[in-house]
Amino acid sequence: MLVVENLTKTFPNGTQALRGVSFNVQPGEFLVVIGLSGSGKSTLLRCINRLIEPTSGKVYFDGQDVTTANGHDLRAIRRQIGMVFQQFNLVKRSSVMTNVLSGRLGYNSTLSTTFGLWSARDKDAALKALTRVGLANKATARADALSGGQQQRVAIARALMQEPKLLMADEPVASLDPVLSHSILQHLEQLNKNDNVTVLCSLHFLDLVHRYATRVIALKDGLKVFEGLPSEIDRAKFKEIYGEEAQDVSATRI
Amino acid sequence: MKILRWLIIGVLAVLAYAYAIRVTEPDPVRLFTSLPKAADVVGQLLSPDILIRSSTSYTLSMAFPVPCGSAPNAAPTTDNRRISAQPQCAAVGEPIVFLGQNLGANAEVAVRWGLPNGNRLPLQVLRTDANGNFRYETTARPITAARDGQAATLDAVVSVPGNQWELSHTVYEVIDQLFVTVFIALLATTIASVVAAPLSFLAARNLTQGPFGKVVYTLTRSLFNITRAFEPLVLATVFALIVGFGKPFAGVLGIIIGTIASLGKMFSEAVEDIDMGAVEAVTATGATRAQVVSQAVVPQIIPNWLAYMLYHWDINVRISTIIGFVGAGGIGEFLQKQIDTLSYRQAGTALLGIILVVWTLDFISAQVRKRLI
Amino acid sequence: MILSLLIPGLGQALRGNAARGAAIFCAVASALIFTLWYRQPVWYVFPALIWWWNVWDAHKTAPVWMPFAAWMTMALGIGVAVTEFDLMALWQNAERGAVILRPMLRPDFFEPNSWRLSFNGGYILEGIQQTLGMALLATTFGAILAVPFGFLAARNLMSANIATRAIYTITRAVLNIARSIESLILAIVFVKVVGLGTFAGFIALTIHTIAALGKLFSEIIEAIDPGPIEAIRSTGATWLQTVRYAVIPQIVPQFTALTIYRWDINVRTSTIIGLVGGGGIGFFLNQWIRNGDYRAVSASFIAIALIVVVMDFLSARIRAKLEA
Repeated sequence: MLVVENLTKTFPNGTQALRGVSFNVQPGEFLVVIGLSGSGKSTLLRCINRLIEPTSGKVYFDGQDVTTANGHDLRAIRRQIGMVFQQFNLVKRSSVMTNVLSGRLGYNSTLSTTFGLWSARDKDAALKALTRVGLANKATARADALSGGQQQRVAIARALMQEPKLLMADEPVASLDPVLSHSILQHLEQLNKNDNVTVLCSLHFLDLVHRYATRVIALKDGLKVFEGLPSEIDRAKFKEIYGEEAQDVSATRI
Repeated sequence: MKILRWLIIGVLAVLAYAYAIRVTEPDPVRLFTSLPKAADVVGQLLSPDILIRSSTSYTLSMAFPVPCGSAPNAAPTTDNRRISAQPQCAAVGEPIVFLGQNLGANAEVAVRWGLPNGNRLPLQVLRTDANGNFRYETTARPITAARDGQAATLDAVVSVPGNQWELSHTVYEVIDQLFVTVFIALLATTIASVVAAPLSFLAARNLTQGPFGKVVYTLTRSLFNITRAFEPLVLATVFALIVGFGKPFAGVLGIIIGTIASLGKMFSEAVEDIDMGAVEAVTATGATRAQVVSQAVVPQIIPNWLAYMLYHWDINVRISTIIGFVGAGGIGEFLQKQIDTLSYRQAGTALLGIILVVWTLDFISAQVRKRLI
Repeated sequence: MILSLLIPGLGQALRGNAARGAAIFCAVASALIFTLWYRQPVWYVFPALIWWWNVWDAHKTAPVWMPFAAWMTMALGIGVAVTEFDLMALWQNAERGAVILRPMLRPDFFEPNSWRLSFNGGYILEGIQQTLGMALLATTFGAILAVPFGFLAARNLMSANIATRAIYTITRAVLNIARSIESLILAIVFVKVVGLGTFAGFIALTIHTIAALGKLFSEIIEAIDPGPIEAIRSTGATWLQTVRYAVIPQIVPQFTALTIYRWDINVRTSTIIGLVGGGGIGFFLNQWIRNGDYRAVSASFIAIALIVVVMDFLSARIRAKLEA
């Protein structure tokens, strides 16, 4: 459903974040991207929905060319791709409800949303999404009154509101305690299995990869250095991806 | 319910604005019609009087009897640069042509009568042509009549522009006033700090316990709060009335009072914020009360206090730039005088000086405070 | 050490302590400028002392309090001389003080033995209204006009290319210059341009408000968290929706709090802006001071203090509510 071809990104300061990365994502997959921080994982995900403009290469989503889409078409693609971020990226001063509703911006007219008018259907859906992540009782609270784990669940609810076909998660658990990490990833897994949402997720820790991923690709210095099943990552592969000095601590910390 | 509340607030706001507009009488038309004047004023303010051409000046003067025969005519000179009149004498009401030759190109010439009684009657300021000549036509007036055989003189005060630039007199005056301004602020801040420091302990909640302490705390705090409500500028007006108009001393006194209140409050908050753990630790070593204060309390509050003092110096410099408006000394007084006499270019110099001083102190105080805290 | 002898602070700077070097240089330079300006030979001792200390300090780090004490002694000494500081003057003028202060104990608000406003009391009421009205209008206009300036002076929005960066630099510079000129100074200029009265004060306050708030607004905008913007864009939102849902919620509460705070300051300033002809209660106060009507003067003092205290309280309450 997602085809990435030869994706390259060079930043104005000369940093080459991506160097010709290609891969496919099949419907229903839980594909995990691993790699050191700075290896280009975040850039890769942001190039897919063009939060960052790729320098060259192609991205196709459901056969539609994302890289040349503009304006209305691009927004239509974006709204089918939910995204969850490492820093949650909630609007902290707005209420939880407003944050969740904002996931439906792409489906509503600019005019009505500017005045904060939402249909009863959207409000209903928002409550349902919050119920799914177990936060229905927090709907009126301000986002910054919530704990980190709760904020990330709100962010998932926001992505759910988009009724996404693909859910991208950029290091969704890197800012959370290990225990919370599992709870968040279980929410993603549930979406993946029950709602048939394809998940593309970048992660740091190898054991989480083993536990949740159906397939893995690894980036190093902007190059794809591995693609395969989680079970195929052995000690040698690990060294190759994370560098010689890396110890297994990162994989065994949890 | 919520809508009703917003409605009430909305109505109140509309009323407030309607009332505000009525009493303020904003007048966009006047703003528009005064634009040319504003452009003129701002233009002059933006061309401050800083550098002037150095110039050499000299005065030439010749006797001119009115009427003829009342005194001897001026003897013709052979000097290269000379002035002459045609005719050489005249009766009251007759036309005179006043001429100057070789006075220097593009020189400024102020022509005037030197009257027999010693007074001067300025006529006009003109400019010589490229050859250094000028020509000015006037008439003999009764006031220029010779008295007791002494004729009036026709004078030409010539100033020839030189090639060098020098600082204008205004610059020196502005610098002088700016120093006064800075010193008003410095003196006021220092004295206010000295007074505020002991008071601040009385206004710190953690040091004033027990019923008596509470009374002291409340009294000092309210004193600070009440005093803070009086603007330094307003206080300075009263002091100016007492110690004399135009004395910077009045400004110092006015700012001192305001600063004591404000610094006292800040100081006491710094005292309230001290880490009691350190106090406990020093007490636990068996130190005396004085030792506890000097070892555990003072080191904690000094950096904060210094930072607040610097901050207030900064604020006080701003205040002392305007405290002269009420006759309490400093650059404000100079500035107001210039603007009242419509000398906008000189006012521009003062403004420039104010901006420079405020900026510099802002910068220094910010830098030092960053290092202190 | 020898370098420090020539240029104070240079030795310290070369030894890796640039800040100390700069501070020493400033201290010596300012001491020299002050003493040379006033040409009082006695004071030359102090720059010399600091200079000498600086050489010692370059040799081995010396205690800082010594030059500090020397500088302060010099500055305070010159300050006392320059400002004609003379506490005795207070004592000598005690009689004049008494003449002024005694009537002040009986502020002139009401007719004797009644609650009807006296003649001057009526003017005080009028002055208060003008003051509050002027402050309200100036704050509103100033805050509205400050918003575009805030955006133009925000580094993160304006670093796209050279043109926008130039606009940023110019806006910043203009705001900084305007901010360092007090509203009262602007007021005396505008009194000349549009004439005496509230309107001149209103313009001066508005300009100062634009400069002060513009700077603060730009800092708020610079501190915006880009995360939510990214998140909202990724939902397929339009530009307008992104601004409405990711930018405005982040800045509006702070903008409001700063504006309320500015309102408080503007009320304070507008009580005194009349002293230079800008209208409001200060205008009447100025008249009464000139006419020696000290009962009315003290009445207006009390009125000003009341306004200031009430505004202080109100603005603190509103801001606390906004924070929650």
